[in-house]
Amino acid sequence: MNQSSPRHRDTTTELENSRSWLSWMFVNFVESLGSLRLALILLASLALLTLIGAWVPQSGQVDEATLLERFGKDGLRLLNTFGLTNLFCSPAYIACLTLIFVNLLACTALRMVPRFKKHFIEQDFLDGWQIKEQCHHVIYQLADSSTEGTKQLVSEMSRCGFRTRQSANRFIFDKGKIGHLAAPITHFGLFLLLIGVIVTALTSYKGTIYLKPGDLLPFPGTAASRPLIGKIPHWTVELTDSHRDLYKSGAARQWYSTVNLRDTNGHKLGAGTISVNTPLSVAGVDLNQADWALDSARLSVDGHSLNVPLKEMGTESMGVLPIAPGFLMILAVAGPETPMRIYFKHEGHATPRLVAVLNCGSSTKLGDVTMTNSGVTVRTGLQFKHDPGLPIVYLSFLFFVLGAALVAIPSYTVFAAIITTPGNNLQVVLGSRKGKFASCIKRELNRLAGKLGDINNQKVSVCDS
Amino acid sequence: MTAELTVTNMAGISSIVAFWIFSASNLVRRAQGLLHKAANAVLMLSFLSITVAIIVRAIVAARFPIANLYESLLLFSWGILAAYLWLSRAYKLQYTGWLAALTVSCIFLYASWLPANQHEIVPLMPALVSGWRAIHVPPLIVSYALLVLGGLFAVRQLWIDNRRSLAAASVAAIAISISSAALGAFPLVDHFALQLWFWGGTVVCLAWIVCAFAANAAAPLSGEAKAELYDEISQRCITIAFPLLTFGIITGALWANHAWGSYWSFDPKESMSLATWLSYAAYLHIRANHNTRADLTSVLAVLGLLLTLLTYLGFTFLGFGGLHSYGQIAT
Repeated sequence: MNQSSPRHRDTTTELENSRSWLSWMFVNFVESLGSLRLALILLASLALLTLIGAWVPQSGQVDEATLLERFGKDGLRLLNTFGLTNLFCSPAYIACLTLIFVNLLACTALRMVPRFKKHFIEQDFLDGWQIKEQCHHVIYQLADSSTEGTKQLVSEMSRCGFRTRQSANRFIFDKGKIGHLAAPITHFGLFLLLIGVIVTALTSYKGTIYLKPGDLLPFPGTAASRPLIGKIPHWTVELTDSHRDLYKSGAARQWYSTVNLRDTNGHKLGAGTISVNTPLSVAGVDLNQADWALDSARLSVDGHSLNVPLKEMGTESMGVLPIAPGFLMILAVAGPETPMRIYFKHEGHATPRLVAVLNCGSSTKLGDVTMTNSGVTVRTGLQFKHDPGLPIVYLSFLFFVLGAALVAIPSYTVFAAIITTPGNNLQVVLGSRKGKFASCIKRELNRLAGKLGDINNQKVSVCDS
Repeated sequence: MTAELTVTNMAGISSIVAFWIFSASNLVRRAQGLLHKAANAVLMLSFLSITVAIIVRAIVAARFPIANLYESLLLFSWGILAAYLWLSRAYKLQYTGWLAALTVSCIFLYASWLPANQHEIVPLMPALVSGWRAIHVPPLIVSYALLVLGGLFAVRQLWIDNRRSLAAASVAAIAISISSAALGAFPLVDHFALQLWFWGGTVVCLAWIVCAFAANAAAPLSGEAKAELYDEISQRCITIAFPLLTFGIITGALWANHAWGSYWSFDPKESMSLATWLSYAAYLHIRANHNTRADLTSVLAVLGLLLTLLTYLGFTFLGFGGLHSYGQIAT
């Protein structure tokens, strides 16, 4: 085909038109993805979903019995159908989070990078007519020469904390410019958080171990979550001691667990005493004191050992042992150091009867049987966790705090120009583009013009573009 | 009566007296300026008293006094008064002190009606024995105070800007939230009924707000300088509260990781604070759009206020559980 033929030219034009249409579509698509409107819709949706998830008890936090009690069978079925009892792992929530990050990515490319650059690249000066066109502005007249007027203007602006740049009769006054960095820094923090969460999801593991003194338990068997990359080490946790501190009132002040961490060969990797808010970190694994309770009461009945499981009931722990049909023995104890109360209850009686109070090591005769309180076994609950993504998440938190702090800094840019009126009078035009703190800058400009106009004994006019 | 209780009562009584002086100033117009100055002086006395009360309680308890609802309400009142006193100096707003006085009076009255075990200094449970408590909780409480004040000034903005219906709907929603959360502190109240009152009432008020907003969408704002000023004050309160809220949430995550091995577990209180944070993030994004109407941003500030109340009080006292349930009142 002849390249200059009409048919060839039509084909080339069609191709160029379709390319430009495609690129127009692509640009529009990216701009929509990065639009403020989409960001607002997604933020509102995420807030609403989070609110629902906060109100509806989630299945990971309460057991099935509690959910049934609260909502009934049909209500629970309805909630499960819509995924409301596991909302934070639901497709809707994850989709919302994903879209927010896509929006973040597009917004960063379209707006944050230029805004970050704007912090380092100086803005262009505006002429008087440009200030009048583009900004909320005030005008006052200069009685003296422009030199004197300029000095007064710059002096007053410096006194108000503005940084001055001048080009002939045009000025730019900046204050709080660092406030422009609030959004880029916060958005960068969000990206870091995403990376940290992904690293956590791929490589972390955690679990809870319940131990009694002398127990040796392995990690892998008790882990609640397993890493997609890497393995849970075959370590064991040995509990050598567990006790608690009490206040004078008898309430628990602190729980302690002394543990040894050993590898597969039995070598000690680390050891220490854990308490609530004082974890133990060994080779990247954190051990936290999560729980503490009385596990079982140890009794000796005519020389035979008996372990009665205990359950927390308010400030005490209680255990129940059926002795005969319709006849129960109930044990009540507040702690390892307190006496144990023994009750008998017959089904024909409304209340149990206290039959003995035994200190640890004491015995009593109940009928033909000698019963000895051999003590109480405690049980400690330890959480273990390995999270390589944590340093990245912590770094993202730092950016969040910094970005949020910068939000509070009002950033103003005031443009000024000295113009000559047709009557050969000198006027100063002061203006600022509308921003987040529009009404604040309006008041500031009015105040400045009022003061500077007063110095010059001239009228001030105020215009809002 | 202990010294701490005396000073706390002085703070509460001062705030009530200040409110009555502000009310009286509307009747005696000729002496209005003088009465405003007197009321502000009494509010300053209230602020100093509550500061002393918190310090004395800290000395007696040998710890930072922020372990239960009563102590958090003291800090909340301190935050409201501190924020108002700063705003009144920065914006020359002495005549709006009645708003702070009324809010703080209600808080003191409510705190005084709490069960006796709330007023006592009790030992801390193991989870709260940590320096993180003094780092995580105070910024959050002060941020709540600023956000509540920001929301109240937003209501004032709506009222002055001829958006009376919106203002009335906002006040109704706030009253329903406060009443349901406040009643939840008392053990004999049925939590299910309270939740019904809260959600039902809030939904009705929100529908009223939406209808009122739509009805007034075309009507211009009054353009009064005071309305613009209240809008600006509301914005300033929120822009200062937002970093404090962020800091409080993040330090909470750090503490949670330290104590429970997980920095975020979607606990109801955590989720609620996230929802509040997201709503204010949306507010700040809308503010970045320079042509936003003041009535829209004020409505958003009121919605944020409702979420803040739900986060601070609602989720503890409307029968939700979670790791933060130690804020509930023992029966």
